[in-house]
Amino acid sequence: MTVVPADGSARMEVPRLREEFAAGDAPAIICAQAG
Amino acid sequence: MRSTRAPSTTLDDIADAAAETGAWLHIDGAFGLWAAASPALRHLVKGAERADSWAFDTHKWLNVPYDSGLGLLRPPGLSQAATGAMTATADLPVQGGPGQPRDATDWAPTFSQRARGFAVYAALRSLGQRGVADWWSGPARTPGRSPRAWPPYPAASCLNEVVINQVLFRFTDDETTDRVLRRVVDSGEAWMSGTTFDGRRAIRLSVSNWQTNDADIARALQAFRAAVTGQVR
Repeated sequence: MTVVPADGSARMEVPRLREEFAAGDAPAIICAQAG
Repeated sequence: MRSTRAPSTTLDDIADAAAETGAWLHIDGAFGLWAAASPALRHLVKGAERADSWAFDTHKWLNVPYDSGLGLLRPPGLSQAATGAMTATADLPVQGGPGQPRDATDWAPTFSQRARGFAVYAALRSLGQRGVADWWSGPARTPGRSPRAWPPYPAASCLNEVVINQVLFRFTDDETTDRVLRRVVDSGEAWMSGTTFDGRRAIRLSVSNWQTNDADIARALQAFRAAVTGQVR
């Protein structure tokens, strides 16, 4: 499991998410918290 | 993303990234997904409809008994797989099986349970979409209607932009934060929990009871002011 960095308000940083995708080729599940 | 703030990173952005790579997008929408019921607030969760699965709590917005929640899967075929993962079989009970009427045993991770679904259904049936939406713009939004009231004391700092029902704030140091919170809770005027955010202690005030009103919020604010005054005197 990888924790994608977030900004100061705990919002996922999408460019870092894309970096994580680029770093691996395994199937991925994104879990985004909305509340 | 937090439901308490108009997001700079939207769920649409995350859904775009997921679509580019074929990743499965799951949204844990404990509080926030219910905002979709409100025309005034659904922009906060725009893009959530593009997810593959969702989980959200009903014991929060719907005020049904604690530990009630919902899980939804987009692909119909996977619902059958989930059924297989959650069901439990034994010789004693009589179960319907494939092609038979829906058996609740196949759809819950616990074999013996009280009827949580009944309370959830009753709440949704009685409220309807309008009722849920009204709830979002009513009691649940009491902090968001008076965002300038936060933080509750000048020595505190607010850590989020107060939009809906949640406020996250802290005092100058961890010891003070915990001490003030303890005083407020011990006063019996309001209850909320402590948490850790960015490695430091914080106080999380979350309004989720349908009976909470602006007067209750004012009373909580006063409790904080009294707690701080008592401490620093």
